[in-house]
Amino acid sequence: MIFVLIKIFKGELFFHLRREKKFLESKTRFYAAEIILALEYLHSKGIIYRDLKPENILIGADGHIKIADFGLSKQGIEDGAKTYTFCGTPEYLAPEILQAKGHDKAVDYWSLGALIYEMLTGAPPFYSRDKQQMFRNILEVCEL
Amino acid sequence: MLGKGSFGKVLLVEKVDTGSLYAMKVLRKDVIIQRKQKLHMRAEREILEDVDSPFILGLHYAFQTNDKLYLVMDFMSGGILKRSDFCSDKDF
Repeated sequence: MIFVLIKIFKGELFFHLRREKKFLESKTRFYAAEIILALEYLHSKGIIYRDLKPENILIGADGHIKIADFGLSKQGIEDGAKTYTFCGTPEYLAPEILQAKGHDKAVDYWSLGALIYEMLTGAPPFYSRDKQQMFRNILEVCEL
Repeated sequence: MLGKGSFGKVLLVEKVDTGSLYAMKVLRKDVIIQRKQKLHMRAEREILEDVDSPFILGLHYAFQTNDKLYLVMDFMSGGILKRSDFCSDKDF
């Protein structure tokens, strides 16, 4: 098996959401649906993804998406079981992860919600340059 | 080079006999160990081997040398949704 490095790569990494600022509802729905199919599949295998964010959504030449980067995923999680490790990207972190109260596959759906919000508005919910403030913004939602 | 992460880089490569394009992730073992990411890397490798979905990036080959890990994955020419403004090294 031999691989050669292609030195000249003319294509440029495209940051779709950055370029378009925000997506139409139809496009958002399409990406959301494919992400849900990926999450459902992972959950059915007992895997929590835990790292859903725009950087991990790759787009193919055909326009379909694939999710990448499983460094933070947790294996062996069955329905009802909870895990306690603290990780994830701040913007998309579920409150139960911040509170270290134990979390399950629902955290992936929290992140999906944050991602859909970002696709529609152009910015993630709860965002603040100050990380601590961002944590407070996320936690406040639980108190409502 | 397609991208650069905290543990290494991603290169665009071509398999010589078939001409197929892949993205090859090259990870430095010393950095992985130093950042205590060994378990994360092992998890990633095991999960990628275990899953098979049109919506998850496929791992085609994995091999290693003394100091590096190589993961040969699907090449996605359309780029990514967005790069985050907020660069966290996840060590908070």
